[in-house]
Amino acid sequence: MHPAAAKALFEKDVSHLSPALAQRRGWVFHSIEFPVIDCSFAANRRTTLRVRLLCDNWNDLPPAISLHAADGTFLVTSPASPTGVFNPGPHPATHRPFICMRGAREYHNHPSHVNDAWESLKDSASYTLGGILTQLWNAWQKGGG
Amino acid sequence: MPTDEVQGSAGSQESGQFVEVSISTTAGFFPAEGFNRIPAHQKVDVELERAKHELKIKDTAGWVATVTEISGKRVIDPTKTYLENKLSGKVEIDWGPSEGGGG
Repeated sequence: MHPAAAKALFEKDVSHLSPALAQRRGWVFHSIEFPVIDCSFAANRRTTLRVRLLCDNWNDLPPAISLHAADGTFLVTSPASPTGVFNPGPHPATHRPFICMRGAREYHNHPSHVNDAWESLKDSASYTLGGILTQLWNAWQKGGG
Repeated sequence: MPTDEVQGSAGSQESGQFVEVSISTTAGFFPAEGFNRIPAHQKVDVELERAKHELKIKDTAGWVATVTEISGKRVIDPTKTYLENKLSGKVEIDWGPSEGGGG
């Protein structure tokens, strides 16, 4: 993907990630500037989870997603969740906990999932950048802590 | 937030047979601003289909509709009515894909 085309597609995808949506869902956008979405999920009685999506080469590649504490430091343990989305790792490439879910680069390039192609998902409404964020949020909501 | 705007609040007799509905997605809000007044005995998926059409969402397979209450997030059943889902007053529905496969 040409960088200009990737940026245009990124900006189209994030155009509806509005303050109103963030307020309703308890999302805090620290940055939405190509190629990065930096967003925290907050809720009552929950430890905030911050995720950073690196969307270079969007959408030929899914975003590389890293997990952070509210202050932006990398998580060393994965959030508690029954979904299997937050994998304690370490991921062979990042050596950190990672997102083990379709739509995350760390899933598709993991040796266990290299046959599950991103190409077949990328045009789905569930795998826009907002869709992937929503999936992460839904997985986080099912957890505790 | 005024107490009568608590999302998904259950059982208010004062709200009559209508609910006011706003649906949020990452493709936009339906309606774009404010709420639509909907019969409380209408199935939730009628309004979700309208949102899908208006917001030009291609496919919604595997999507979940939720409301946020004081006790936390609650998944609602779109094949049931607002009354059957114990929704009244102003209803703010979050609609989007459930977490996908992994593990």
